[in-house]
Amino acid sequence: MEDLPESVMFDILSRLPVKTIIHCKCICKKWRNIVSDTHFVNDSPEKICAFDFDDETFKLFPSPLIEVIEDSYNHFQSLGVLKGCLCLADTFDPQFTIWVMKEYGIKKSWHKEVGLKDGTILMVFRDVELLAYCPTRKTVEDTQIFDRYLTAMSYRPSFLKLQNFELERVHVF
Amino acid sequence: MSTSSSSSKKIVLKSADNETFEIDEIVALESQAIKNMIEDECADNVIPLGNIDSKTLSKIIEYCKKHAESPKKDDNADIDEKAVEDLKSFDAEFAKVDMPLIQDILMAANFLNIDNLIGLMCRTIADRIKGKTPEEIRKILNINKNDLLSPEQEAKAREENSWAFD
Repeated sequence: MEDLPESVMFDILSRLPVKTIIHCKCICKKWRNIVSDTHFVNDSPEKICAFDFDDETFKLFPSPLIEVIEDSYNHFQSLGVLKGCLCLADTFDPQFTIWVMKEYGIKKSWHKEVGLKDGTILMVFRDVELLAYCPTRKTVEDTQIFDRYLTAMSYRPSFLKLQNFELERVHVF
Repeated sequence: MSTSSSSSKKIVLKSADNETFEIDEIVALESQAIKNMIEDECADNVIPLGNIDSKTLSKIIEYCKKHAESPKKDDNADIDEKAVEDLKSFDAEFAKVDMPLIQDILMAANFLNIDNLIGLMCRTIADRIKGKTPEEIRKILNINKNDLLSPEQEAKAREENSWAFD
Protein backbone atom coordinates (compact mmCIF):
# COMPACT_ATOMS: atom_id res chain seq x y z
CA MET A 1 0.00 0.00 0.00
CA GLU A 2 3.00 2.28 0.44
CA ASP A 3 3.13 2.96 -3.29
CA LEU A 4 -0.34 4.41 -3.55
CA PRO A 5 -0.27 8.06 -4.55
CA GLU A 6 -1.53 10.56 -2.01
CA SER A 7 -4.56 11.53 -4.07
CA VAL A 8 -5.76 7.94 -3.93
CA MET A 9 -5.11 7.71 -0.19
CA PHE A 10 -7.18 10.87 0.32
CA ASP A 11 -9.93 9.31 -1.73
CA ILE A 12 -9.97 6.24 0.55
CA LEU A 13 -9.84 8.34 3.72
CA SER A 14 -12.69 10.55 2.57
CA ARG A 15 -14.93 7.48 2.49
CA LEU A 16 -14.17 6.42 6.06
CA PRO A 17 -15.89 7.21 9.34
CA VAL A 18 -13.87 9.55 11.50
CA LYS A 19 -12.95 6.83 13.98
CA THR A 20 -11.36 4.68 11.30
CA ILE A 21 -9.48 7.72 9.96
CA ILE A 22 -7.96 8.14 13.42
CA HIS A 23 -7.10 4.44 13.45
CA CYS A 24 -5.34 4.86 10.09
CA LYS A 25 -3.10 7.39 11.78
CA CYS A 26 -1.60 4.58 13.83
CA ILE A 27 -0.97 1.99 11.14
CA CYS A 28 2.29 3.27 9.66
CA LYS A 29 4.31 6.40 8.95
CA LYS A 30 2.87 7.12 5.54
CA TRP A 31 -0.75 6.98 6.72
CA ARG A 32 0.09 8.94 9.85
CA ASN A 33 1.64 11.69 7.77
CA ILE A 34 -1.32 11.85 5.42
CA VAL A 35 -3.87 12.01 8.23
CA SER A 36 -1.81 14.51 10.20
CA ASP A 37 -1.23 16.53 7.06
CA THR A 38 -2.42 19.99 7.90
CA HIS A 39 -4.30 20.20 4.64
CA PHE A 40 -6.36 17.22 5.63
CA VAL A 41 -7.94 18.57 8.76
CA ASN A 42 -6.51 21.70 10.32
CA ASP A 43 -5.62 24.07 7.54
CA SER A 44 -8.40 23.17 5.23
CA PRO A 45 -10.36 26.17 4.00
CA GLU A 46 -13.48 24.10 4.60
CA LYS A 47 -14.54 24.55 8.20
CA ILE A 48 -17.90 22.84 7.92
CA CYS A 49 -18.13 19.11 8.28
CA ALA A 50 -21.05 17.28 6.69
CA PHE A 51 -22.27 13.89 7.77
CA ASP A 52 -23.69 11.67 5.08
CA PHE A 53 -26.48 9.53 6.52
CA ASP A 54 -26.36 7.08 3.63
CA ASP A 55 -22.78 5.93 3.96
CA GLU A 56 -22.16 7.28 7.46
CA THR A 57 -19.07 9.22 6.59
CA PHE A 58 -17.93 12.73 7.33
CA LYS A 59 -17.03 15.02 4.49
CA LEU A 60 -15.70 18.55 4.39
CA PHE A 61 -18.31 20.91 3.09
CA PRO A 62 -17.69 24.10 1.08
CA SER A 63 -17.41 27.06 3.46
CA PRO A 64 -17.30 30.79 2.85
CA LEU A 65 -13.89 32.44 2.87
CA ILE A 66 -13.81 34.09 6.26
CA GLU A 67 -11.30 36.87 6.76
CA VAL A 68 -9.99 36.22 10.23
CA ILE A 69 -9.59 39.30 12.39
CA GLU A 70 -6.38 38.54 14.22
CA ASP A 71 -6.80 40.86 17.21
CA SER A 72 -10.33 39.73 17.95
CA TYR A 73 -10.40 37.86 21.23
CA ASN A 74 -13.49 35.90 20.30
CA HIS A 75 -14.50 34.14 17.14
CA PHE A 76 -17.70 32.12 17.06
CA GLN A 77 -19.41 30.46 14.17
CA SER A 78 -22.78 28.83 14.11
CA LEU A 79 -24.82 27.21 11.41
CA GLY A 80 -28.48 27.72 10.79
CA VAL A 81 -31.16 27.92 8.15
CA LEU A 82 -32.15 31.27 6.74
CA LYS A 83 -34.86 31.68 4.12
CA GLY A 84 -34.51 27.99 3.36
CA CYS A 85 -30.77 28.25 2.78
CA LEU A 86 -27.85 27.10 4.88
CA CYS A 87 -26.42 30.06 6.73
CA LEU A 88 -23.34 30.68 8.81
CA ALA A 89 -23.22 33.33 11.50
CA ASP A 90 -19.70 34.54 12.00
CA THR A 91 -18.90 36.58 15.08
CA PHE A 92 -15.72 38.50 15.83
CA ASP A 93 -15.49 41.12 18.57
CA PRO A 94 -15.82 44.10 16.23
CA GLN A 95 -18.11 42.61 13.60
CA PHE A 96 -20.86 40.18 12.88
CA THR A 97 -21.59 38.60 9.52
CA ILE A 98 -24.26 36.26 8.28
CA TRP A 99 -23.33 34.25 5.25
CA VAL A 100 -25.99 32.51 3.20
CA MET A 101 -25.40 29.65 0.81
CA LYS A 102 -27.79 30.44 -2.03
CA GLU A 103 -27.30 27.11 -3.76
CA TYR A 104 -26.74 24.23 -1.43
CA GLY A 105 -23.31 22.65 -1.86
CA ILE A 106 -22.00 25.31 -4.28
CA LYS A 107 -19.07 27.13 -2.73
CA LYS A 108 -19.39 30.13 -5.04
CA SER A 109 -22.93 30.73 -3.91
CA TRP A 110 -21.90 31.83 -0.39
CA HIS A 111 -23.03 35.38 -0.11
CA LYS A 112 -22.78 37.99 2.65
CA GLU A 113 -26.35 38.56 3.73
CA VAL A 114 -25.72 40.84 6.69
CA GLY A 115 -22.58 42.56 7.84
CA LEU A 116 -22.66 44.58 11.05
CA LYS A 117 -19.86 46.74 12.43
CA ASP A 118 -19.51 49.85 14.59
CA GLY A 119 -21.40 48.53 17.56
CA THR A 120 -24.68 47.75 15.83
CA ILE A 121 -26.65 45.44 18.08
CA LEU A 122 -28.89 42.67 16.86
CA MET A 123 -32.00 41.99 18.86
CA VAL A 124 -34.58 39.28 18.59
CA PHE A 125 -38.01 40.78 19.06
CA ARG A 126 -40.92 38.56 20.15
CA ASP A 127 -39.21 35.55 18.55
CA VAL A 128 -40.33 36.70 15.13
CA GLU A 129 -38.23 39.67 14.14
CA LEU A 130 -34.53 40.32 14.08
CA LEU A 131 -33.89 44.02 14.69
CA ALA A 132 -30.66 45.90 14.20
CA TYR A 133 -30.06 48.81 16.56
CA CYS A 134 -27.44 51.34 15.55
CA PRO A 135 -26.24 53.27 18.65
CA THR A 136 -24.55 56.06 16.67
CA ARG A 137 -27.61 56.89 14.61
CA LYS A 138 -30.01 55.70 17.31
CA THR A 139 -32.14 53.86 14.80
CA VAL A 140 -33.78 50.49 14.82
CA GLU A 141 -34.24 48.58 11.60
CA ASP A 142 -35.98 45.33 10.90
CA THR A 143 -33.47 43.14 9.09
CA GLN A 144 -36.33 41.04 7.72
CA ILE A 145 -34.25 37.94 7.75
CA PHE A 146 -35.39 36.12 10.80
CA ASP A 147 -36.04 32.46 10.58
CA ARG A 148 -35.63 29.77 13.15
CA TYR A 149 -32.06 28.85 13.81
CA LEU A 150 -30.65 25.39 14.19
CA THR A 151 -27.82 24.55 16.48
CA ALA A 152 -25.18 21.98 15.74
CA MET A 153 -24.50 19.19 18.17
CA SER A 154 -21.64 16.80 18.43
CA TYR A 155 -21.87 13.43 16.79
CA ARG A 156 -20.63 10.52 18.79
CA PRO A 157 -19.27 7.78 16.53
CA SER A 158 -20.91 4.45 17.13
CA PHE A 159 -20.88 1.04 15.60
CA LEU A 160 -24.65 1.01 15.58
CA LYS A 161 -26.04 1.78 12.18
CA LEU A 162 -28.31 4.79 12.06
CA GLN A 163 -30.76 2.89 9.93
CA ASN A 164 -31.30 0.56 12.89
CA PHE A 165 -32.91 3.42 14.75
CA GLU A 166 -36.41 2.95 13.47
CA LEU A 167 -39.11 3.79 15.94
CA GLU A 168 -40.21 0.25 16.57
CA ARG A 169 -36.68 -0.80 17.38
CA VAL A 170 -36.05 1.75 20.06
CA HIS A 171 -36.13 0.18 23.51
CA VAL A 172 -35.75 1.98 26.78
CA PHE A 173 -33.13 0.29 28.91
CA MET B 1 -18.84 -7.88 -26.62
CA SER B 2 -21.74 -8.33 -28.98
CA THR B 3 -21.48 -4.94 -30.65
CA SER B 4 -17.87 -5.41 -31.72
CA SER B 5 -17.33 -5.96 -35.39
CA SER B 6 -14.28 -6.60 -37.48
CA SER B 7 -14.57 -3.10 -38.89
CA SER B 8 -14.22 -1.28 -35.54
CA LYS B 9 -10.85 0.16 -34.76
CA LYS B 10 -8.58 -1.96 -32.60
CA ILE B 11 -6.00 -0.97 -30.03
CA VAL B 12 -3.31 -3.31 -28.77
CA LEU B 13 -2.09 -3.04 -25.18
CA LYS B 14 1.09 -4.75 -24.04
CA SER B 15 1.57 -5.71 -20.39
CA ALA B 16 4.81 -5.64 -18.40
CA ASP B 17 5.19 -9.37 -18.92
CA ASN B 18 4.87 -8.87 -22.71
CA GLU B 19 1.39 -10.23 -23.16
CA THR B 20 -0.65 -8.40 -25.78
CA PHE B 21 -4.36 -7.63 -25.60
CA GLU B 22 -6.29 -6.52 -28.67
CA ILE B 23 -9.33 -4.49 -27.72
CA ASP B 24 -11.84 -2.25 -29.45
CA GLU B 25 -10.90 1.40 -29.40
CA ILE B 26 -14.18 2.23 -27.65
CA VAL B 27 -13.08 0.02 -24.72
CA ALA B 28 -9.66 1.65 -24.55
CA LEU B 29 -11.31 5.10 -24.46
CA GLU B 30 -12.58 4.33 -20.94
CA SER B 31 -9.03 5.25 -19.94
CA GLN B 32 -8.59 9.00 -20.04
CA ALA B 33 -4.82 8.53 -20.42
CA ILE B 34 -5.18 6.32 -23.51
CA LYS B 35 -7.89 8.60 -24.85
CA ASN B 36 -5.48 11.53 -24.64
CA MET B 37 -2.78 9.51 -26.38
CA ILE B 38 -5.13 8.58 -29.20
CA GLU B 39 -6.39 12.14 -29.57
CA ASP B 40 -2.84 13.47 -29.64
CA GLU B 41 -2.03 10.79 -32.18
CA CYS B 42 0.81 9.46 -30.12
CA ALA B 43 -0.65 5.99 -29.82
CA ASP B 44 1.17 3.61 -32.15
CA ASN B 45 -0.21 0.24 -33.05
CA VAL B 46 0.84 -1.13 -29.70
CA ILE B 47 0.66 0.75 -26.41
CA PRO B 48 3.23 -0.61 -23.95
CA LEU B 49 2.16 -0.57 -20.30
CA GLY B 50 5.44 -1.39 -18.59
CA ASN B 51 4.11 -1.10 -15.05
CA ILE B 52 0.96 -3.25 -15.38
CA ASP B 53 1.15 -7.05 -15.36
CA SER B 54 -1.12 -9.21 -17.51
CA LYS B 55 -3.28 -10.40 -14.60
CA THR B 56 -4.11 -6.82 -13.61
CA LEU B 57 -4.47 -5.67 -17.19
CA SER B 58 -6.95 -8.39 -18.08
CA LYS B 59 -9.09 -7.40 -15.07
CA ILE B 60 -8.98 -3.78 -16.17
CA ILE B 61 -9.99 -4.69 -19.69
CA GLU B 62 -12.87 -6.76 -18.32
CA TYR B 63 -14.03 -3.69 -16.40
CA CYS B 64 -13.64 -1.28 -19.34
CA LYS B 65 -15.48 -3.62 -21.72
CA LYS B 66 -18.47 -3.84 -19.41
CA HIS B 67 -18.55 -0.12 -18.79
CA ALA B 68 -18.02 0.77 -22.46
CA GLU B 69 -20.99 -1.31 -23.54
CA SER B 70 -23.28 0.04 -20.80
CA PRO B 71 -25.27 3.14 -21.62
CA LYS B 72 -23.73 6.24 -20.09
CA LYS B 73 -25.73 8.18 -17.54
CA ASP B 74 -25.55 11.49 -19.35
CA ASP B 75 -26.36 10.05 -22.77
CA ASN B 76 -29.97 9.66 -22.06
CA ALA B 77 -32.09 10.90 -19.20
CA ASP B 78 -34.49 7.96 -18.96
CA ILE B 79 -31.92 5.27 -18.72
CA ASP B 80 -32.89 1.69 -18.34
CA GLU B 81 -33.08 0.95 -14.60
CA LYS B 82 -32.11 -2.61 -15.31
CA ALA B 83 -28.88 -1.56 -17.02
CA VAL B 84 -27.92 0.53 -13.99
CA GLU B 85 -28.62 -2.36 -11.64
CA ASP B 86 -26.74 -4.71 -13.91
CA LEU B 87 -23.67 -2.46 -13.85
CA LYS B 88 -23.90 -2.15 -10.08
CA SER B 89 -23.91 -5.90 -9.58
CA PHE B 90 -21.08 -6.26 -12.08
CA ASP B 91 -19.03 -3.76 -10.04
CA ALA B 92 -19.82 -5.60 -6.82
CA GLU B 93 -18.71 -8.92 -8.31
CA PHE B 94 -15.66 -7.32 -9.90
CA ALA B 95 -14.43 -6.05 -6.55
CA LYS B 96 -14.55 -9.49 -4.94
CA VAL B 97 -10.83 -10.13 -5.29
CA ASP B 98 -7.97 -10.23 -2.82
CA MET B 99 -6.34 -7.10 -1.48
CA PRO B 100 -3.05 -7.32 -3.40
CA LEU B 101 -4.96 -7.45 -6.69
CA ILE B 102 -7.22 -4.59 -5.59
CA GLN B 103 -4.15 -2.50 -4.91
CA ASP B 104 -2.61 -3.44 -8.27
CA ILE B 105 -5.84 -2.56 -10.06
CA LEU B 106 -6.03 0.74 -8.17
CA MET B 107 -2.46 1.67 -9.07
CA ALA B 108 -3.05 0.78 -12.71
CA ALA B 109 -6.42 2.58 -12.84
CA ASN B 110 -4.73 5.62 -11.38
CA PHE B 111 -2.01 5.43 -14.03
CA LEU B 112 -4.51 4.92 -16.84
CA ASN B 113 -6.83 7.53 -15.34
CA ILE B 114 -10.06 5.51 -15.22
CA ASP B 115 -12.13 7.54 -12.77
CA ASN B 116 -14.95 5.09 -12.09
CA LEU B 117 -12.54 2.27 -11.45
CA ILE B 118 -10.42 4.36 -9.06
CA GLY B 119 -13.62 5.18 -7.18
CA LEU B 120 -14.73 1.55 -7.09
CA MET B 121 -11.37 0.35 -5.76
CA CYS B 122 -11.11 3.12 -3.16
CA ARG B 123 -14.64 2.34 -2.00
CA THR B 124 -13.78 -1.35 -1.76
CA ILE B 125 -10.69 -0.68 0.34
CA ALA B 126 -12.59 1.77 2.54
CA ASP B 127 -15.37 -0.81 3.07
CA ARG B 128 -12.85 -3.43 4.11
CA ILE B 129 -11.07 -1.29 6.70
CA LYS B 130 -14.12 0.61 7.95
CA GLY B 131 -14.53 0.21 11.72
CA LYS B 132 -11.38 -1.90 12.07
CA THR B 133 -8.61 -1.49 14.65
CA PRO B 134 -5.14 -0.31 13.58
CA GLU B 135 -3.84 -3.90 13.95
CA GLU B 136 -6.55 -5.23 11.68
CA ILE B 137 -6.05 -2.47 9.12
CA ARG B 138 -2.32 -3.17 9.02
CA LYS B 139 -3.03 -6.81 8.29
CA ILE B 140 -5.69 -6.10 5.66
CA LEU B 141 -3.50 -3.61 3.81
CA ASN B 142 -0.35 -5.67 4.32
CA ILE B 143 1.60 -2.65 5.52
CA ASN B 144 5.33 -2.74 4.92
CA LYS B 145 7.15 -3.58 8.18
CA ASN B 146 9.79 -0.94 7.46
CA ASP B 147 7.22 1.81 7.59
CA LEU B 148 5.76 1.00 11.02
CA LEU B 149 5.71 3.63 13.75
CA SER B 150 7.94 3.18 16.76
CA PRO B 151 6.05 2.17 19.94
CA GLU B 152 6.47 5.74 21.24
CA GLN B 153 5.13 7.28 18.03
CA GLU B 154 2.16 4.94 18.04
CA ALA B 155 1.42 5.67 21.69
CA LYS B 156 1.49 9.38 20.89
CA ALA B 157 -0.83 9.00 17.91
CA ARG B 158 -3.27 7.03 20.07
CA GLU B 159 -3.09 9.51 22.90
CA GLU B 160 -3.90 12.46 20.63
CA ASN B 161 -7.28 10.96 19.83
CA SER B 162 -7.83 8.60 22.72
CA TRP B 163 -11.63 8.82 22.35
CA ALA B 164 -11.36 6.83 19.13
CA PHE B 165 -9.91 3.86 20.97
CA ASP B 166 -12.67 3.26 23.52
